[in-house]
Amino acid sequence: MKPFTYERAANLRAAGAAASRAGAKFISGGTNLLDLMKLEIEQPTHLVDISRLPLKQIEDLPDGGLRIGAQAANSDVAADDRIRTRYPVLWEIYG
Amino acid sequence: MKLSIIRRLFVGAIALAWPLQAVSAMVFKKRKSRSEMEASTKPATRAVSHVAFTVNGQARELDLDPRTSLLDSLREHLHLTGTKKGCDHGQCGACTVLVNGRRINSCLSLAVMHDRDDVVTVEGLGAPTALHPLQVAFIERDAFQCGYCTPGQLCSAVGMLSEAKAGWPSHATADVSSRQIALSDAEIRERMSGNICRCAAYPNIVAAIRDVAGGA
Repeated sequence: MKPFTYERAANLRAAGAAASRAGAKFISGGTNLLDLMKLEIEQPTHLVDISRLPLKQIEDLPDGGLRIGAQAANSDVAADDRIRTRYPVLWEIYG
Repeated sequence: MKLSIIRRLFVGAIALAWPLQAVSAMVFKKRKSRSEMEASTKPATRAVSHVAFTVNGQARELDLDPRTSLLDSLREHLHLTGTKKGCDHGQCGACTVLVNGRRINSCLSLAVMHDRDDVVTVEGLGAPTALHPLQVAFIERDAFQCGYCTPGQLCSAVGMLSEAKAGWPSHATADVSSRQIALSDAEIRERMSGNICRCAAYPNIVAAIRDVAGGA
């Protein structure tokens, strides 16, 4: 794996600013990115950790839909009662 | 006569020593400048990151190359070699550990991302004199041959049982709207499908987990 620097983004604005650097990438879970970095398919020089930003929510919308936060874990989405009962196709994907 | 010979030898030795010293100083200086040169050609991104986390109930702090996986930090830096490296690409599950109570592949996670996290490895599940119920069941059911996947199987099973207890469905769950999960063999197999056993001890692994799930 190529060397890189690491920082944890303190908030959304800081994450956006940090990721605008050349060679920077967001890291969240790491399952995809780290696998590709080990193979040197991805070679970021700076990683911005967004895993603790407040984006984990699964919330009802006024129009009856759901908004799934970008940080919501697949297993959390699959375990959510609303997904299980109202969105069987999504459940199939995330479960 | 004798004294003058000694004096001559002494002077000669000094005369020899001076250039030697000078040469060694030059070599030393040259080496130093080469290492400086190497340092200047290394990428500026070579960095050290600090991580402070809890591992098996103990507070641990490490200064690491940010590339260090959680798995390597456990094995190479904390010398907790119970957690195994199988594929190092998240496909075999041998490196499974519990982070804040949830099972993850420690090979696909950076150690520095786990600052302030609570990590439990197979060493933290039970002690040789007080085994975890799953460890007891694995022994009773002979749920291994070579044992390489076993630490991952155990940590995964601990995480899996708590997921089932919380009512999380799996693809083997008939009624996904139900919060009551009956851990059938099909359920256990599906939920443990991320942990590969090259010896194919699956029937006994499933039996061991079934024993503990039934008793829970």
